Order: sequence, then C-alpha cells, then structure tokens
Amino acid sequence: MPSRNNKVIILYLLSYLEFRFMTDNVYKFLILELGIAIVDEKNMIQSFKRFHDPVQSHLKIKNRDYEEISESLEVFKVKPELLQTNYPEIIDYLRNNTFHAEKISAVEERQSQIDKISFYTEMYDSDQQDHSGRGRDISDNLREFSLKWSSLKVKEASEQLDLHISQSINALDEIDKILNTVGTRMREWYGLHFPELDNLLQNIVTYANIVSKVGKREEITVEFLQSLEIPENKIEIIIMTAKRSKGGKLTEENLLILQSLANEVISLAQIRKTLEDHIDISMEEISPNLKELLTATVGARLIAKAGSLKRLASLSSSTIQILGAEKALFRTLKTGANPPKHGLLFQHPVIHSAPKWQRGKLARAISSKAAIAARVDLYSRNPESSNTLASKLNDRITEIQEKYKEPSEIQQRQQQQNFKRADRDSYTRNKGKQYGRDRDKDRDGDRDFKFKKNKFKKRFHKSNKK
Amino acid sequence: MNQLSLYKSFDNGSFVILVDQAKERYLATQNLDTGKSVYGEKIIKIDDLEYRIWEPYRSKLAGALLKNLKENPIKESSSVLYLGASTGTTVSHISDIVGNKGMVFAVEPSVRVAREFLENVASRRKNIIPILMDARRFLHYYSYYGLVDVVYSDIAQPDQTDIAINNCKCYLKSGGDLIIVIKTRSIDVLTDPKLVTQNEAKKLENNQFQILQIINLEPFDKDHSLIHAKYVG
Ligand SMILES: C[S@@+](CC[C@H](N)C(=O)[O-])C[C@H]1O[C@@H](n2cnc3c(N)ncnc32)[C@H](O)[C@@H]1O
Repeated sequence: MPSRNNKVIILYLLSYLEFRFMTDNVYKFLILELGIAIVDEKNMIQSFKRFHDPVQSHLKIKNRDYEEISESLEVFKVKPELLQTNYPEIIDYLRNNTFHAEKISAVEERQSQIDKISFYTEMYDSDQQDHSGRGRDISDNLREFSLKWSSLKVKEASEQLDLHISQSINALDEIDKILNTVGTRMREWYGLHFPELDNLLQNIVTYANIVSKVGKREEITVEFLQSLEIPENKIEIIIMTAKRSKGGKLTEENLLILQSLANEVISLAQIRKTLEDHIDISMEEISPNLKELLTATVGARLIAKAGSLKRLASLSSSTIQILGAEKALFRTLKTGANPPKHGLLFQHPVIHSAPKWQRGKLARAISSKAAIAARVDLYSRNPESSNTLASKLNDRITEIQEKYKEPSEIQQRQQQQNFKRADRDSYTRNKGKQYGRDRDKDRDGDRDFKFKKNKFKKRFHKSNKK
Repeated sequence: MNQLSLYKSFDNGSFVILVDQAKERYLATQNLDTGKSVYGEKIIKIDDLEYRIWEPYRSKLAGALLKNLKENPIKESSSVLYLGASTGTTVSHISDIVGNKGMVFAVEPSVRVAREFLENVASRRKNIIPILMDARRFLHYYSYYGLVDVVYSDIAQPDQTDIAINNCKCYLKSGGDLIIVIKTRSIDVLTDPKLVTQNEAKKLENNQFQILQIINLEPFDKDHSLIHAKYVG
C-alpha cells in the first residue's frame, strides 16, 4: 500500500506530465494524398491513418464529410494546445471541435512536402511488407492516386464546360435575334438617306461600319470602302450610286442616333464572334467527335437541348434525330400527322442543303452517328474514332445522295402539296439562326442574306392577304 | 530519313544520336512505351531496340542538345520536376531517358492539354506522376515527395523565372540542376531578346544559382533561349 507521500509525488508527477503535454504539444494535422498524418513539433509521426481509397477519401473531405478526420482526431487523449493544418478548409471544423487550429506556416509546409516520403515509408513499414521495392510501391500508389485525381479534375472541368456551352449557344441565338432587329431598323432608317445601299451591301457589319464611321453618303470614300475589304467593282458602284442617290437629307441629330445604333450592331457582331470562337474551343474540349460530325454550333445546340453531354449520350439516336422538334412530335401523337424528320439537326449543312426527300434519311444517318459520337466523347475520348465515325458517315451520306437522287413518286406528290407543317415549323425556328459559320461559307462571307428572306416573307404575307 | 544507323550513345543508350547516309544527325530516345508514338514522331528499330526520333522543332530540350548543350543533367534514374508538361512532347522523351528507376513529376494546370497528356503519356508510363496544378502553388502539389535532381521549366509566363526559382528552393536538392526555357516574348516584347535572357540569368545568379550555359534556340525556336544552371543554395 503506497504511503501518503508517494501519492503526493505521483500526483505531482502526473500534473507535471500533463503540464508538459500542455505547453509544447503543437501538432501538425496533415492531409496527404494517401492518408492523414499527425506530426509533432519535432516532425515525428504520432499517427498515420491510411486511406483505403485515397480518391474517395479526398472527395469526401472536399464535400465536407469529415468522418475520416474525426477518426484521426480520436488519437488525442488530451487536446493539443494547437493544431496546424495544411488544409485550410477544415480549420472551422477543427475549431468547432474545440481545437485551436490554424494554417501551417509556409516553411513547415515545405518541410512536410519533403518529409512526405518518410511518412509514407513509415506507413508501409507498419503495413508489414517486405522492404525491398518499398519505394517503388509508394510511388506506384502515389502515381495511381495522381492519375485518378487528375482524370477526375479533367472530367469535372469538362462537365462544367457543357453547362457553359449551353449558356453560350443560347446567348448566341439571342444575339442573333437582337442583331437582326437592330440591324433591320438601322437599314430602314439609313435607307431614308441612302436607299440604294440596302441592295448593294448585304453584310450587316460592313453596312454598320459605313454608317458609324462615315455617316452621310456624300462622305463615303474609295479608301474607306477599300479598308472594309469590299471588292473593287462594288466600290465603284457604291460611290456612283451615292452621288445619284434619291434619298433625303439627314440631320445631325438623326445621324448621331443612327450611328449609335450602328455601333451597337458592330459590337454585337464582335460579341457574336467571341461566342462562336468560344463554343468552337469548348466543343473541341468536351466533345471533339460530335463537333467533327456536326460542326461546333449544331453539336453545342444538341448538348444544350439535352441539358448536358451526359444526358445527350444517354439518348437514343431516334430521339436525337428529332431533338428540338418537340412541338411537331406532340402534334403527331395527338393528331396522327406525319412525324417530324428532324429537329435541330436540320441546321446541319448537309441536311439543309439537301433536297427535301433526302432529308429524313440523312437525318437518321447523322443522328445515329451523333449518338455514338456523344458516347465516345463522354466515356472514352478516343481521338481515332472520330475519323472512322466521320468517314463512315460520309460514305453513308454519299450513298443516300446517290441512291435517292430523284424523289419517289409519293414524295413528288407530297412535294406539290403545301409546306408540311413540321417542316414549316423547323423552317421558322431555324430562320433566326442563319448567321452560322456554315452558311457563311457557301455565301462567301455574306452574313445577312436573311434580310432578303424577311422581305420575301413580307411580300409573301401581303400576297396572301390579297 | 531511311537507313538510320547508330552514331553515338549516352546513358546506357537511353538517348542516342543517329545518322543517315547523308550524315545528317538525328536525336532519338529508347522508347519506354513500345509501339506508341506520342506526337507523330517516327519510331525506328535498331538492333532489336526501339527508338523514337526526338524532334528539335517540337521539343526545346532536343533543340538544345543539338545546339551543343554541354552537359545533359537528365540521366538514367534521375528524378525530374517538370513544369509546364503541356501535351507531353518533351516529358515523354525525358521519361524514356530516366527509365524505370527514375521519376518525372509533371506539372500542368491547363485541363485542356492535360487530358491529352494523361491519355497519351502519363497513364502509359510508370515513371510519370502528373500534377494538375499551377506551378505557382508549389507548396500544395499533390503527389509529390522528396527532393529532385533536376528541375525543368518551360511555362511561358511573364514571371516564369520566379516560379522556377521558387520551385527549386522547395524541391531541388543542393547541387541539383535547373534547365529553364526563357520565352523572351512572354516576358517583354519590346526589349532585345538577348537582354531579356541576360536579365533572367541575373535573377538566377542572385538566387544562388550558378549559370553553366545559355543557348539560343534558333533556328528551332524563335525568341527562345535555354539556361542551364546549378543550384548551390
Ligand atoms: C510552351 S508549353 C510547354 C511545352 C512542353 N514543355 C514541351 O516541350 O512539350 C507551356 C506550358 O506551360 C503551361 N503553364 C503555363 N503557366 C503555368 C503555370 N503557372 N504553372 C504550370 N504550368 C504552366 C501551359 O499550360 C503550357 O502547357
């Protein structure tokens, strides 16, 4: 039985020990790729909790699931005076658990990066593996983690990107609408002063540049038109017509307002270009095969319509074929009218330049390859497959174009009837989107032939009324 | 380029110079990932060994070697911290050279190029650890340990030299080598490229580096130079 004295000594000793523990127990709480290490001031490891699945554990911690951290914290019988961590996001969590916590200093952080190797070695020692090739084992594990983690990051970024693509393509459509409205207004207004220019200049940006930078028709010079890269013969005509124009006078006030409209057109066209480039680059990034097959804008529209690349990849090719023609589809279901042949895919240059009787077949060929492309882009990203997909599709397209050169008799009869409702639908829907790159190609940089179309429409309506 | 034959071999043959009949010289490394070409470079077989031609117009280190880099610090079983891995053109050759006993830590923040890098290079070669981060955040690199023998930096940023210095101070062992590609146009468009390079070299000297060699990479790369320095800190 211990004497009273002994008891006092033991108590004293205990409190001394506790005191010691209290004063200099500053610990580092390090979240490393393969586990959580708790290290004391002298960089001695006090505990190492190895992650079973490092990637999963990191994801958990990132999503504020701190189970593994709290398990690690159980090591402390006595709360340390200070916990320093290399992972600032968990500081609040530690504080809520009555730890004093702060961020580790840069010097210590560097040290722990260098010391990592010894942490890992120790961890592997405790795993009781044979010592030979241990270093290799560690780097294999590290490598596996970093590969998985990097792929995850890449994937995350891409998933983010397709949301942005949807926004970009919608913005593009809206800008087209505004550009169309404001541009038409500008033409009509400036037309009071120089009516002949409307027919001479198709390109809305070139037109806006003349209004904005020159203004009155008398001041239009050859040099300025040259700077806009207008062909020589056209320049001559414009200058001549300007001299003989039958248009009225333009007051300074009116011109100023008109010029700000023109500036608006120019800057919208610039934004449009930026958006288009951005869509192009992003599509290359997240869905190169789809882009190759459908062009960037059409591919992006499909993704936007489906909601995401993931959703698009889960759709059947027949759904993709009529994506964007939902109205017509519901009509079919209700009234038994002919089902739509194509929705958004109508904007594919091959389809909308094809004769009507080929379009359904082309749309089916394209949508079936597009469905594959979307899946390839989502899951494997094999760069080689785009070539084979594209060349197979091209073969099929040529085949259709050859085989169905002439419409079948039924189709011929149908053609003589009025516009099919479904087709008219897609016609009006797509009309606003003809600024696209592909149209430009055939039309030689001529961006606004749609104004002609508008006129055509007006006349069409008038004659209908009569 | 047909009929290449071995001309000179370094580091156990992991990196060689070949000649054709016209005595034109080609660099090549022994392919660690047999059968796979990374960036369209030619693969050839000599005496049962497979080599990849190392294009000086595509990889600045190859350009420097052909322009007489006196000493190549990257050898078999070196560990290398590589900043600015991009799609992995140069990294793949370095991975060939250091072999299975070496290690390449490849830093690249751009997700766009990193995907290709992961797919074509990092996932296929056991001696590469990819780090998808900005080299400015060097203290937070995931998947990193210990000190390395060589830091290779090619990141085309205005503050590229400072970034490289910081990385070296953290991870380069004393006496280790720094190879840094200076893209003068990223730093200063107006000043004479030569002067820009000299300024960057000064910066290194002020930070405990000893300049060993400066190579102008013309004609392989315009406005680029490569500095080889030793870290004496
Ligand atoms: C000129 S390329 C490198 C080419 C590569 N070294 C080769 O020879 O194959 C520059 C790379 O550095 C990357 N980079 C730019 N800023 C960086 C930074 N702060 N940290 C790391 N990498 C960066 C870029 O993303 C780009 O891929």
